[in-house]
Amino acid sequence: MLNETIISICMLAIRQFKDHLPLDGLTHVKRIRKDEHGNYAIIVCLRKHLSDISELAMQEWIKNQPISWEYLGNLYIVQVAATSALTRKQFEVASKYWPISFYEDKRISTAIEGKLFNQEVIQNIYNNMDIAISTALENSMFKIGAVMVDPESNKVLAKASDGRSRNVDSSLLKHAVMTCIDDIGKMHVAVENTNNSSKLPNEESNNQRGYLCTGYDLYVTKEPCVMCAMALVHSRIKRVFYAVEDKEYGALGSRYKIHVHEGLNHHFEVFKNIYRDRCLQLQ
Amino acid sequence: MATTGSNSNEWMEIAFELANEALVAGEVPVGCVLVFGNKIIGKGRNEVNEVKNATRHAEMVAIEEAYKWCENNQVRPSVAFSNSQLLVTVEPCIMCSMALRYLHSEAVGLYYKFILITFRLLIADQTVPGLEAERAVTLLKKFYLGQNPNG
Repeated sequence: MLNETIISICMLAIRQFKDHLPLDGLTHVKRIRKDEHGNYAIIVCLRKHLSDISELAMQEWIKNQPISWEYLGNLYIVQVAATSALTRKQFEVASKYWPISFYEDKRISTAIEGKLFNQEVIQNIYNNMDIAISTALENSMFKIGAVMVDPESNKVLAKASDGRSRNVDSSLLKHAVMTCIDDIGKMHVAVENTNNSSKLPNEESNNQRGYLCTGYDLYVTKEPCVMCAMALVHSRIKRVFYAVEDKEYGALGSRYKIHVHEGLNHHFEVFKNIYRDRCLQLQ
Repeated sequence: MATTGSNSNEWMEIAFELANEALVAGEVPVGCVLVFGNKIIGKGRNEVNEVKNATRHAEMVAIEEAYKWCENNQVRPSVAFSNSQLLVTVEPCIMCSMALRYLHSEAVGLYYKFILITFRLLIADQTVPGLEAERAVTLLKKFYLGQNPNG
């Protein structure tokens, strides 16, 4: 058969499949592939749609679908990637099973290659975590420390240790991150009060920065919990760097992924394992 | 879902007054009261813009006030919080929900009676008609039709 004819038949089949047998949730999966022998194969439908019927009944069922079958060969089952590929490596592995589409996220690729930060920035990151560790040691019960930094100047704006104790009647919500955010708010209020007294016309950009932690980075020795992670979303944090994951309560990767939750209106980047070994000893 | 007791209408009314106060102050109109032993031990309204702190939701403000009440009245916070009811005009966010969970679960373990009365639950509960939800939503609409000075 001429190549053109095959392609037009395939196109027709794909169009029909799309309408009648959609691959729900698998938009990254290509409907058709051409193998090394030049043979075409098309995905008819998902196996789960037919999970309760036998192979024979399946063939019968498919033949009853409103599609022209005369040029199509045998049916068989293939495995496809359940989710879209985030990295080139994932794309390469997934493509061995069945072709998928891939839009490379340059930022993720750069991060994987270890080229996201230059040496100077890396040094700053470690230095800031070092400050968080020193801050953590200020509380004898929960050795957790948080530091808010303006990455543009690498200036430390606030630092806080965990204010809790083991006593159930102490302030249970004084987590280091919450206190750090509180301090930033107080700082902004203080700045505004100073500005109001000397009314600088040029302060609009400062006011636009407003009450939030927009553009700031947070360094914390332990992965933030749900409350703190959501507080960081509310505060429009830029990035979070943490040392040790918290399998039980961690909300930035371990237990939940609040920072990339689709239902929330602000997302941010999270980096972990900065001085992990040192911070493990804090606990 | 337990009911909130005979004074719940009155308390909810105060929560709405607080929400209104927030609106007048240019804040997202949410108000709440924390009730313990038939007494309000903490009141709060959104004060995010005022104190430039995005975590100052009504619930967090009320909790802080309740801690002070406990100190002044020599009541153990673990006892007060775990036997409290929170009446709030809008369903708490993830941050506040977690804060509330910390307060009861870490305080007394299994036997908590911390009841969240959100406008959504009020309808489900039929303790107060949907009128309350409408009021809360109307307040929010008033706010969002205006402009949040800080986005």
